[in-house]
Amino acid sequence: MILQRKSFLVLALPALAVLVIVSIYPFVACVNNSFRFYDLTRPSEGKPWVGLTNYGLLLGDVRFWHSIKVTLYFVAFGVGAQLLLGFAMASLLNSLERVSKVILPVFLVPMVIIPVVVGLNWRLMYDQTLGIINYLLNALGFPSQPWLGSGFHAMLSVILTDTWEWSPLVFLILYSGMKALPTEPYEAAKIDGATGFQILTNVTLPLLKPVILIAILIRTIDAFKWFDTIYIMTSGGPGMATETASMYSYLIAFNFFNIGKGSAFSVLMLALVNVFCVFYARIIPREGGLG
Amino acid sequence: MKRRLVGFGVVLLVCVFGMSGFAFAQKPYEGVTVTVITWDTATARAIEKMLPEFEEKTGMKIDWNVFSEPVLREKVMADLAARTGVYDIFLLDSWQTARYARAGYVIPLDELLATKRSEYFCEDFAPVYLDALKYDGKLWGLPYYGVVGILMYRKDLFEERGISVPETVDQLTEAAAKLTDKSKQMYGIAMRAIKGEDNPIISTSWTWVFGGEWLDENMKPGVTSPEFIAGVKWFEDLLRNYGPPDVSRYSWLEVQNIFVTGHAGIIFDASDFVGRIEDPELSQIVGKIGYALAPAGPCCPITERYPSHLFTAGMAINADSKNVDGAWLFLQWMTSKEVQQRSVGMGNTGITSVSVLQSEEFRSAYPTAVPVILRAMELANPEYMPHIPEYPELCEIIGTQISRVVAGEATPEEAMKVAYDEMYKVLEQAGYYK
Amino acid sequence: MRKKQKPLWYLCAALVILLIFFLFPVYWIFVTSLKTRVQAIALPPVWIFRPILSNYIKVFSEKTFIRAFSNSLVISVAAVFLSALIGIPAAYAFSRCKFRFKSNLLFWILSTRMAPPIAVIIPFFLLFKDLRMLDSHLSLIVVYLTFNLSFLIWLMRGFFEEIPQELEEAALVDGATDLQAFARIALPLAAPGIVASVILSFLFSWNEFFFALILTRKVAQTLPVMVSGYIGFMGIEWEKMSAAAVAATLPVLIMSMLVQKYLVRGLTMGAIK
Repeated sequence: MILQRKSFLVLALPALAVLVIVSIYPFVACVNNSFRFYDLTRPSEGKPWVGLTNYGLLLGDVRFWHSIKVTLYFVAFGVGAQLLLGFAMASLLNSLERVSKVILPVFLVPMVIIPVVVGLNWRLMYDQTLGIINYLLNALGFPSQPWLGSGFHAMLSVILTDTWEWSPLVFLILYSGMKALPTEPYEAAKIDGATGFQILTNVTLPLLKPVILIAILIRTIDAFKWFDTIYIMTSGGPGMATETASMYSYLIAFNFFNIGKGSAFSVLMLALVNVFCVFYARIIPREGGLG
Repeated sequence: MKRRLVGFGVVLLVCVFGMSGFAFAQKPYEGVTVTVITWDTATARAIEKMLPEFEEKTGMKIDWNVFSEPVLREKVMADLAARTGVYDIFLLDSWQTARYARAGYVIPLDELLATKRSEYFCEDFAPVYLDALKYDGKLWGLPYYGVVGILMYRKDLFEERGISVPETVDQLTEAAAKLTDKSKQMYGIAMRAIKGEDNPIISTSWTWVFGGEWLDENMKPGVTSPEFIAGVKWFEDLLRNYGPPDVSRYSWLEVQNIFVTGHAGIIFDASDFVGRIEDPELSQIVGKIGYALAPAGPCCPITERYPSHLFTAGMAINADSKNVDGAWLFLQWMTSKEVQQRSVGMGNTGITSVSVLQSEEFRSAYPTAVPVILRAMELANPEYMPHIPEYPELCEIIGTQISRVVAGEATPEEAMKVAYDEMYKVLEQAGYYK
Repeated sequence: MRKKQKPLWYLCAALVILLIFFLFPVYWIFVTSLKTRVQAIALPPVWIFRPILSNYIKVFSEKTFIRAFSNSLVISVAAVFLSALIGIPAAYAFSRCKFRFKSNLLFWILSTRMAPPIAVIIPFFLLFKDLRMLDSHLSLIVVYLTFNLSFLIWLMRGFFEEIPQELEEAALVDGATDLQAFARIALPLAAPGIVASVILSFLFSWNEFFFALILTRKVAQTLPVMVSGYIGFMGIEWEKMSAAAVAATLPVLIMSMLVQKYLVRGLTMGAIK
């Protein structure tokens, strides 16, 4: 540890101050609202304290649990796929030095497009009759698929679109991570005659652990909250196959105008995300550099 | 001395002219800004073009904001939650009227109508649209955009295969069957069945003509009645057999697209489709479209129960508005006969004034559709959807369950049982069963 | 330089497959921006057509688009600049310091990003209303700054932890202050991390929709909100929306191309000396 306490404060205080000031009030307000009856269709009744009523209503709601289940599938499979694909992209570009300058911005494009447009575009592409994906499948001799028409397919399609959109984020984090690695270990490994695969598993991956962790954390946190493209592509359907927690809580807060229940929902989601993140942070020990 | 007199005279003249000019420049609403937020429709575009005239005449500045439906609801909601009163006039559709009225977010217009009616006020709003904006005996908005349900079909295909316009639901099923050729991706019929609050306006039009009701006389859910379930079953079978394979995800957009690309023979949806499906910039079937009244269900003739698909978008005045007088004047202007008449030429098909609907200009714009629309408006009955504050919750429940049936996730009986339980919970919590 | 053992053509094939997967939908959006509305939804799809530039011309000549574009630019640049300015030093501080509640504090920082927007949007709206900051650039800059900080601190901390502390210790021995060690040694070595953080922070701010929607009206309206306006009631202006979306990707892509030269291979320990 090389930093003095004073220097630590100088370096870290501005950021901490901003975070505290800006985020404390809304968070406290949200928790406060979750313990109250706060229904915008009945403003005359005010915001009386109701204790755990909102939480009780939600925890007893089958639809709530279903939305949590859908969210877990979405996060688990989505983040998993993005991790694999992002790592593949990063490794690939790392090996193909000459084209990396051109390919890098290209790889970033999917996540750069405004999500609303991404959602609409994929919705049209997934149309069973008029969509381009089935058209191409048919041209290659495969039958049309009900991409958004059956529960199972819809879940798949939503995850596929999400992977398409956000693998570039994982890619960018991992790629820059690879670029920041020192060269010594690699030279040493080559001298030792290690194969490419051995280098990958024994040198690259361990060194990249801190960066991999942050990629997983960020994607998990964002995937839990994710709303835009799913809403546009399926509205949570067919049936309730793709109704995630964020969509159901949106319904409660913005269609049914029940802010109290929506706040309670969000607090529960926050708790769930926290559990996940603690879990990841424990499993992936942060031995990064050689220090 | 003379020069001084002349100088004095000039000054006097200047003052006189200046003051009279000042008097002329004083417009009634000089310095008042009225903020409006509404849906981005062809109507809104037309009105936006005409705003400068209104501003010129009254001195009022109009802060005009347009957004799509869910987005608008979010913005208005934030405004209402904070009671900022930023939007003097906002869109109040027939679904939200009861809710907002009871919550006190909008002011009743009856008194303003009685005391401050201006020359702009449209005297002949279609009753069916005006009633949709009433609650608890008062009027809460002026109808800005209205639609009814009509059948739209490929008249070229009907002629080719000798199909006549269906007048009963069974004939509709037959017609759809004759038009369906799945190997060629040609589907007899397409209607909205997407999960959520978007499909009941269509699907419960049909359960209505089967004799089903959302609520019975005791305000208990009526969705498990044999009539209602028969209607849901008919809806499911029709779409499952003769509709596109992924119809359970169809919103108005998919229904429109499948029709204008020539892959659906019949659709049942809002009358304002007319403007778009006859637009050569969008549609591949211009000139091949026929319009007809929707068929009757087994329970009664269409004069008693018509598949109404009734929807009205109104404009209401914010209870926290600081410019009520100015807002009221603008509200009357933007829904006035003159503005509606002129908007016909700019693509507006959601006209709410009867005389404009019957006008030469509207008739000649869509000659085959207009008589059908007019007759449908006479037959339409807003009763098929209850006009209560809990409407949005009930609508979402029914829509989701019917969508599940069409998707094959549940039988009509199972799904309607779930709907019954959820609707019961909502109504119970709202205090209807005390 | 380190070379992969696999033959080159395997890699190229993989690259091509990935490119097709990622670029086809983009191509589809781009091509839609050059079509008329009928062509945009036609089936069979229209492959060969005469491209028209009128969609782009229409979009660029709309005042709302220009204003939204410049608003997004101002807000995103400011948010990124500020968050990098205070976030990167904070990240360094966390990577080089041990104290009792460090991991708890770090976790709390991460949790500021976890809040679902719907939960906090009304409180934020009320807060900014009381501060009279509604529909201002500042309100969004502050909000985006906060969201970016948590991510930036964690990411940069990861990068700083990859850098062995010996280098800074050596500099301290040579008489540098710890702040100088940070600026002259750690910072350059963490350049790739800074690149990634800047690109991603800019991106998150640029594409953010919900807060921009609720907290702005006309003056500070950003691009995502404006583009969503092409979804009219019962009508979508595909062609214009695609054109606007394509135009909206340019600033981020241009920025990525400019900063990517700092994505350099980590230097050797010897080179530093």
